[in-house]
Amino acid sequence: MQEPTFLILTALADGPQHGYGIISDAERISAGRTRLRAGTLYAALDRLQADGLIAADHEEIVDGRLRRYYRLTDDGAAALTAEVDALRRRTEVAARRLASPARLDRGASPA
Amino acid sequence: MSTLEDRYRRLLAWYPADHRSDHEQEMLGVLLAGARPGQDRPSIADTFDLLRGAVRVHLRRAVSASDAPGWPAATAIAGFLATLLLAADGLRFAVEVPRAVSQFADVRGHTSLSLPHLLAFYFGPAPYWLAWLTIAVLAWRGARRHATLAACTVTAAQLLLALYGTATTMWGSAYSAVLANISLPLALVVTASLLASPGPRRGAELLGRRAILGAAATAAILVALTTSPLFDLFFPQPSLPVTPESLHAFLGRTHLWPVLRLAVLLTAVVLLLVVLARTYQGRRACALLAIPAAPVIAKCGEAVAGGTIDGSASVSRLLIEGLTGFALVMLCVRLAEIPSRNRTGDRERHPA
Repeated sequence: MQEPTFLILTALADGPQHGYGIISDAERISAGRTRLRAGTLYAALDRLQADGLIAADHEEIVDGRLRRYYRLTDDGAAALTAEVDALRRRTEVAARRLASPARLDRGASPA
Repeated sequence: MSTLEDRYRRLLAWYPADHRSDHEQEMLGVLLAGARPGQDRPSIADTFDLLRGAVRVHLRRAVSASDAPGWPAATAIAGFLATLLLAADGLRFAVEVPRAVSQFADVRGHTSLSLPHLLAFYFGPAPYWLAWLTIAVLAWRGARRHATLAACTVTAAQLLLALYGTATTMWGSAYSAVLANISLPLALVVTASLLASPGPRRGAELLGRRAILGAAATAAILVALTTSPLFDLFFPQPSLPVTPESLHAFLGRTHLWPVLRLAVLLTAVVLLLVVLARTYQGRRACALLAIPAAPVIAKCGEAVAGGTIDGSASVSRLLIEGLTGFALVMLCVRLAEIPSRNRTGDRERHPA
């Protein structure tokens, strides 16, 4: 799963959001490292909607302009859960190897 | 602020039309919300990002074209109408059988050709039409997988025989005249609708009873104009003894036959457009039906212009004319759909 997809699904996991809300949330989730732009966002939303992972929730008129909210579908929640499990297993392997005594011994030698 | 919005709109124009009609407003909202106060040009990063997004959306649409709204329904409608035309064509063969039988009996007495050759010449297409009758019945009864398999087999066989026919001479050309005419692209459209759409039955449901009756009547008229009994009715042969004047008059009158056919064909095309052009899938169904229609219109036009009816056939010419027709109709459809895109833009500029 690519990073924009992961961030969008995570942003929507808390509840329905509109486009600009997803962008701000994604920036917060990635601790400021990733800034989603409108083109990337809407190309990803287009694909996620076609795959059935998200759906349009409701619409509002703000400042005379349409604002559409999106929500996570059950399929989307399942996909995000699977990705979270895969990532967690990977981070556990990395953390275990970094903390292993063999590595600490090797690391003790002068670089 | 309006100049920034205009510049964003120009970038958004690169997105597909249906994506824009759904999302242009929200994308503009997001873009303008993220703009700095007093910014009057999109940043380079935003420009690249928007263009890259447009490419991605186009690609996704192209890759999963069968999911695109309307094409499955368009293929279903075109498949049903093509089945109707094939059925009419088969009916034409059936109507011509008595005449073929009498000609066969006449020729049989004084020809050196063997019986199998003669039978093949006069009644060769019979298995083909029986096969299509079976496929139509299977599709109507809902046995889609069997109908699809049969249609693929028959169409593949027809294509191979037609290619063989156009490549060889003599007997091959007789086969090609029978197999590589309008029935080939019609068969292709029907097979495509069985493979890649809900099928001709769904197409019939989408059309509705009135449209179906109209289409059946039009198909019957079109086909009647290719049968010899009707020709004999309109143009009775000059009574014996034949004089040069009566023969000349007869030939002059019969020149009306291709003109009549072309006129009815063009009327049928106009009626089809009137019925279908209003909906998204209807327009695309017309484009699909241009594949069998274009070669027929071309041939009828040639007959009117040249005064003779050309009996030869060529698979490559069929396919080229058919695909050209399809491309032309899709071009007109796209052009016709532009005004509705602009109107959506105007509504946003002047919110009520």
